[in-house]
Amino acid sequence: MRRRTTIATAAMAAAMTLALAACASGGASSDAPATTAAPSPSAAALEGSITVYAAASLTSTFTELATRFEAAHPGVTVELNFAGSSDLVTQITEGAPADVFASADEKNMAKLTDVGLIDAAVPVDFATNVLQIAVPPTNPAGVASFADLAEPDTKVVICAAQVPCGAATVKVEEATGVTLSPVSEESSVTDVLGKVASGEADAGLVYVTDVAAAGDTVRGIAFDESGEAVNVYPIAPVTATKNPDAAQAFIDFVTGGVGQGVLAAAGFGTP
Amino acid sequence: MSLSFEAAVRSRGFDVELAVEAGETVAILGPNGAGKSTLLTLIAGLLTPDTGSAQLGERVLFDVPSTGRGRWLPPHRRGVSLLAQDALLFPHLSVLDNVAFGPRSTGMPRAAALARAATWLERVDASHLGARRPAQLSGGQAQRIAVARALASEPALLLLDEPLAALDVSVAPAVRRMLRDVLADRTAIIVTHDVLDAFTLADRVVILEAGRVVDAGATRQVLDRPATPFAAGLASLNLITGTAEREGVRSSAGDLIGVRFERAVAAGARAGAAVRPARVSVWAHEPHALAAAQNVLSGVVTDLEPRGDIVRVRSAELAADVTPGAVAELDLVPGSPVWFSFAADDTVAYAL
Amino acid sequence: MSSRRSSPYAGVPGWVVAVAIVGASFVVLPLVAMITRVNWGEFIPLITSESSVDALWLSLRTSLAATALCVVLGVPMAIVLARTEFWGQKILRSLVLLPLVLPPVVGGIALLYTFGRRGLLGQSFEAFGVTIAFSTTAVVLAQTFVALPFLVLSLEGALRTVGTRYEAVGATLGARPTTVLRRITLPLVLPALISGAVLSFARALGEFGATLTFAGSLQGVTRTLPLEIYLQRETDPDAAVALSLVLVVVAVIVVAIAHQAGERNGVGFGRRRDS
Repeated sequence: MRRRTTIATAAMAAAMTLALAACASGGASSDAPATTAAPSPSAAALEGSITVYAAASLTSTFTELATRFEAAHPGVTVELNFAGSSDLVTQITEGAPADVFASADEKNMAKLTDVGLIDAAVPVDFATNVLQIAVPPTNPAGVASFADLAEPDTKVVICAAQVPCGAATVKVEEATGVTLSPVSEESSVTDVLGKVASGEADAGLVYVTDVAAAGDTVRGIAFDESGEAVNVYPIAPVTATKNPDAAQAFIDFVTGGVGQGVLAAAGFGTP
Repeated sequence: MSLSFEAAVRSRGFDVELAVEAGETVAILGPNGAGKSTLLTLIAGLLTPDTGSAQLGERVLFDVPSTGRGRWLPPHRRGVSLLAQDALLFPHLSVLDNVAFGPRSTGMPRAAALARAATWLERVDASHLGARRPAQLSGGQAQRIAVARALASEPALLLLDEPLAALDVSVAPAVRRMLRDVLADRTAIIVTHDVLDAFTLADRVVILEAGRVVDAGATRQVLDRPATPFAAGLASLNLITGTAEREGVRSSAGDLIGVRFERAVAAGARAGAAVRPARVSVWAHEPHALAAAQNVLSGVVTDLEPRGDIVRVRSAELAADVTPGAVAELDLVPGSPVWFSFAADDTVAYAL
Repeated sequence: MSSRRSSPYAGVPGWVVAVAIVGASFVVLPLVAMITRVNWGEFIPLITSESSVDALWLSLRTSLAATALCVVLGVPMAIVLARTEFWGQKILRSLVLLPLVLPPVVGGIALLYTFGRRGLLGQSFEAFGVTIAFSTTAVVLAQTFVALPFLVLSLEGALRTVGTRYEAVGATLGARPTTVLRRITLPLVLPALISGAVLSFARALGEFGATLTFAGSLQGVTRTLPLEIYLQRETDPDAAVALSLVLVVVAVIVVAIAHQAGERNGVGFGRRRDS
């Protein structure tokens, strides 16, 4: 019986693979030669379009940066694709036509350098993000420090350890020795903020940029221990890019003065 | 226990007054839509009247004045059982549990209720069916069980709504016989279409037409001396209504009908003359040289209805039973002009 | 086409059959695709991990509680809707059925503003020291909210089909309304009640959006199987797929039971053999 099952499963797997292959061939041509003729790093010569895959937490900043970059380089069009970093890694691995990848953490960048889709030497860190305590505007529980979150009457909502903001929370807990008893471990920052903004929870732990983006609905409280878990954002051109010059120019723009200014305004730190 | 009832339901044009003596069975006869079922649902408490009052023994069933709040007893506290055309046995209960339902509902312990149910099953010759499910019964069996169930709750008044109408002709007589036994000395009202039910089961009949009582009295009297065409039809009688004169009855059409007065009727009073279709002869041409005591009326054949070995020939006013041979000989078809004759001696007249 | 003997003529056009096959594939193929991705070697460890077992157990407990709540609240609702007439009844019925068409997340938000800390009722509860948000109770409430219409809908339909004739007979036999309900009405609609309850259970088991919004997500307390799957997807797709399969199997069993109960509904009742 076991053998029979295996064969059936293999058959289904084969069918599935065929279906996927059929889908993929319609979209991208990832097997095109990666070499390009006569690289000329002159800004004036830049033209064509590039596709930037960026972590969801970069949505507002990168949208603004893309507009500014296009203004500075009228010949270039920037396409943006935002999603969770791990989803983006999956898409690029499956052959999606990305030129630049901006990850919310080093772990996901490493997944691509490990398989050679990105040259291990090129990723540069362009921003950092740290946790901040989010409380309802009235701060009903009077939270002022990280240690206050461990108060038994304070209802704290954090991210689950499986998602990046939750991993950072665990790191801070370990470093400080403060153990939180959250009432909920959410699977996304949005859910944490939603519960804090509605007043269901007294406090939540999210990234400082999330607090900034949430506007008046929540209040952010910075805490020193957040330095124990600094999330570093790396950016790199994808090896298979057909427009390496424009890709590099965009990366330089992000790490340059304009990029850093926009990122700082959104709450990001400098690496 | 005796019932006194009077109620009106405006939306159905229903306005009926009725009394039933203790131990008496009253048959309600009437054409479709006359208000027979409305009467039963009002007494059972499944419908509230606009106005009226009813009392069963000492119990006030309802008392609804035309203005102000009245009293209304819910069905389960009336002591009135309703037996419908369909047996409506509870499909999820065994036959025995169906019959025991009433006693159980009124708080009788299970064992006692089952014992009473068994007694009633025996009364309706259905002891052997106790363990069956209703789906396993024939129509006649189901109706017997329904009777047992209705009586096991020991109602002060039993209402029967055409209990035999849904039964096969082959089983109806046995169920009718069983009903006759259980209805003896029981206060009951039976709605029926069948004059046979009225004769076998009822002490008295009430005829409803268009929501009103149009005739009432002892069964034989009402059906032998019908006051309305409906009652005459039920009794299979020709009814000619008109005014009493010294020599006979002057019909509404102006013909003088020679009759036999059972009892003197004052000249000028409303009177009916009844004659059996079997005593009426049919002629293709106006008959002459008949005995003086024969009535002759002309008419046009509207319908020929075969009934076994005879054919009933109808005109708008009269019906006559003749042999199929006579129909062929006279070449009768709907539309044929005919003459009817019947003896004054066969025509009974009475005051209406 | 060898086994065609003695089947009645159906008269279904070939193209209808073809489209039906496409439709069936559309439902079945994704399930097959998911099964192909199951890591069978790790399957048992994946579904028996502490978090998985907690989630499954929590899901079963809360779904059963929600189903019980649906029966307790839904049976009276169905009876009132089917057996009485009052002003605004149609509007009320539409409102009761609303959770069927609402996105669950909307239901979650609505529940939050009702039973939440600052909600319409939540504030009073809070005053008595009862907190609903972030508790297993909140999960049950969210599941009941989305599952209740299934029970009300199927039961109301059955009540209308059965009609009031048996109930009228019961009343004239001397049974009080409560006795009639217990001994006649409910037994008559039992098959519909069972299939409605099973459907409610299935809906409660699959509930995700309202729970996520209203109850939160904490292992063993509020993280039901769908939430666990959603979370595992972030880091451990194998576990997510394995748990999805568990959920599919449970759902298939539940649908089969509901179908069985539905088959029995209305068959063998009220039929009489003519003699």
